Amino acid sequence: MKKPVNLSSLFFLALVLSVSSCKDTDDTSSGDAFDRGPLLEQVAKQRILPAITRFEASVNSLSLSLISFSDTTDSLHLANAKIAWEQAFIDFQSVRGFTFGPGEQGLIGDINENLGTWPVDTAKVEQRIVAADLVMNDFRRDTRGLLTLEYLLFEPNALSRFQGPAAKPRMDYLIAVVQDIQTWAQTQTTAWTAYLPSFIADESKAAGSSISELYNHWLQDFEGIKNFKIALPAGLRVGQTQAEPYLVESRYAHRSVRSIKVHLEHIENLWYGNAMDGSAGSGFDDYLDKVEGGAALKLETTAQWEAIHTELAKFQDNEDLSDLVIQDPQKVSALLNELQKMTRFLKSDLSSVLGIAITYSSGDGD
Amino acid sequence: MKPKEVLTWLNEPTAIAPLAGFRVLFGLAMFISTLRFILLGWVDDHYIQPLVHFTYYGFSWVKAGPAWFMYAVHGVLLLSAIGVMLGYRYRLSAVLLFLCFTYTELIDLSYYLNHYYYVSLVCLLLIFLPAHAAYSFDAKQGRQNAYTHIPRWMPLSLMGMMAIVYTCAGLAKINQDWLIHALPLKIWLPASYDLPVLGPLFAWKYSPWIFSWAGMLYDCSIAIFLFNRKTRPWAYLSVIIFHSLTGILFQIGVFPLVMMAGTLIFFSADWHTRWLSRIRPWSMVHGPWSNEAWSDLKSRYSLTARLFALFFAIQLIFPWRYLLYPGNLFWTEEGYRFSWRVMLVEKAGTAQFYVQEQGSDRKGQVVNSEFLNLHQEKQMSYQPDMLLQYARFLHEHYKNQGLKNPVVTAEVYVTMNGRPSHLYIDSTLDLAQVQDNWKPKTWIKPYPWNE
Repeated sequence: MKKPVNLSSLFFLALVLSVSSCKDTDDTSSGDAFDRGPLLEQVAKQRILPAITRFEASVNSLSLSLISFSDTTDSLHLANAKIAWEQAFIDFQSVRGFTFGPGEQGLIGDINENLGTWPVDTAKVEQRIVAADLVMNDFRRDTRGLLTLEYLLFEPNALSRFQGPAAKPRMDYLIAVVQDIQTWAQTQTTAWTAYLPSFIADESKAAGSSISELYNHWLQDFEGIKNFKIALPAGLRVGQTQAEPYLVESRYAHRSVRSIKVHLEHIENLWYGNAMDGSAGSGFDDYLDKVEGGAALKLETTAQWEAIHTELAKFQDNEDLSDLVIQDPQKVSALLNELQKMTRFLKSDLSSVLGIAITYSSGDGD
Repeated sequence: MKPKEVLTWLNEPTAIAPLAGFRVLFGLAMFISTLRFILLGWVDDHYIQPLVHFTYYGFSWVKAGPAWFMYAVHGVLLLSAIGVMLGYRYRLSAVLLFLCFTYTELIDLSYYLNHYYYVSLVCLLLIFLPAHAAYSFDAKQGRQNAYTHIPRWMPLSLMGMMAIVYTCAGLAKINQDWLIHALPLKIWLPASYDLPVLGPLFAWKYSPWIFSWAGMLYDCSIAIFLFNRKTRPWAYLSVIIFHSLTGILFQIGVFPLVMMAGTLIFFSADWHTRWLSRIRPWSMVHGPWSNEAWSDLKSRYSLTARLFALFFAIQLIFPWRYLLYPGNLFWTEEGYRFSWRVMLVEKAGTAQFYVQEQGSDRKGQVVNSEFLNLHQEKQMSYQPDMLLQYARFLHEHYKNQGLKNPVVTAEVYVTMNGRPSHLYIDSTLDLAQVQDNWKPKTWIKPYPWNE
């Protein structure tokens, strides 16, 4: 007589199998699949950490420049401070998108919101200076960060206002802002250094995994350039009836074009897996070599990057975007158009073939 | 069998234990599922935080309540799941379970899942079945007449519901992409290469075909094998393997658990009696068993039997309504929902909406993330009725902001099973003016990948 299968045991086995699906693994055998390990390692070691370390160094230099400027408040030291600011601002473009892991939103927002908010509420800044209000850990993010520093350093009467009778509270505010930026930079370097091993080790495809977080925030970073850095000042958002040049990112130093170029270059480098020093590595393009439908998408995306380059080449680094949105809106629209064409490749097409979970909510299943 | 013989067979007495066992396990699964939902913070994410909710056709009147209310509803869900499980105030519990669960599901179309739909239907059926007539507090405490036997159609209705789910899911897999191209498993399986033990198997190049065919054969045949006493143990083993694999591979929540628990209803009364009898504090209450009692039971449930027949007629027909629509079902999605098409296609879209004030030549771009969460945007971007709802929302929103007769258009690109994305709808159409109805949506572009 055949021994009947113990059904209670089977049900128990089912539960065990279900639970075991939640466990992590260190098995990295990828067979015919794309091995996400090298991509994560490349991003972590060759982009995230170098970018954050470089930004911290720039911010430290900026801080030193501002302290020198506070000691010797003259045009030479202001010019030095402006150069240091520009370097920090440019380096920030390669950091602002890492708003996951240690860069995730805290109580008062993430690094992008705290250091990169614009437009600056200059009236509120002036009020805070007068009131000697140096509190930086609150929700008044439009009165601090790199673009508040830009206002203080680059506005037309900057030097005289730092030299005038009300100079001290202004200088105190300037130093408080840079110190806040420095704290953010240092905290991020420490936190990311500690977090990177677990970031690299998590090769899963689940929502919240390293690859899913990287992809989501990379895409968000790309869309931020299109929607806020370009469409907003160009007056191409709903409800805008004309260009609004004062909504450019860098209103006083006129480095918006440079910011867009560097920021897009960073996004593109992540796509190609290029290191900060320019050397090649594993990127999303390599992922596409191994997945169904990837080859065609890689071709289309690569061609679209070229189309974006063509449009970007029409912009000079020192051109003022606030002038361009008025004087040459077609040029701005053409760039925006190419970025919009790229959106579908990066957004739906890429997410679809990577086979990773983008959101936490349960999908449909049988 | 002649129709009359079928009717006689359906009304023959059968032991109540499988129905009672199903009640206990289903109540337990609902409790776990609801608790998990609350603990994951999804009450807040799904119902409280979103600025916009996508509604089901005909159910736009169902609205999310304030935070305290939504948590209270989930509290009632937990209690009613326990009530069903224990058979305590069962009818009230089953009604509350159905109403609360279905209410939460109707709030936002973005979160539609076939298994939630299945759960709603089972909750509805349970209201009308005397699943608390044994192994329950109601029977033990005299609130419900205890029965040892019930008409066969009662447990059979729950088996039938499960058979419809599986069989429709299996038949839906009989298509070129699934069986010939092994899509979308060719995309999904290799991405799980990192899993322990099974990872290398998923990454093997022939696995997508093996899993595609096995999945189709499993879905099409499992109900028959579970129904057959001889094949049942092995069929249940395959249930465990199949649902464990899908649970490991995909982000599908408690669905594997629900199905593994639910399919136990196919097991014999003896098996259910054994495990139910081991559970205290209740024990089997032997109710009056006489011809009079049996006749009384049958007559009391004769209307229910007729209503169930109508219910199953609808369930058998409704999944096939897509045949009335032209075009490719996976592309147009007309008749896609409520037809048990599960994990069948990898589809995604990018929807760029534009709003233009009447008389103005300036088209403003909409940033979807200002109104929708990531999941809502993902779902909206490739489902035609959701595109319309979002367009109407934008129209109203910007009208309230002061724009005169805002025209809402959208450039929507959709990709399916890894194919290059194509324009999905007429991008010149004012979507806010398009009425959603059951007629074919002629503004959807033709299926672009005819091979």
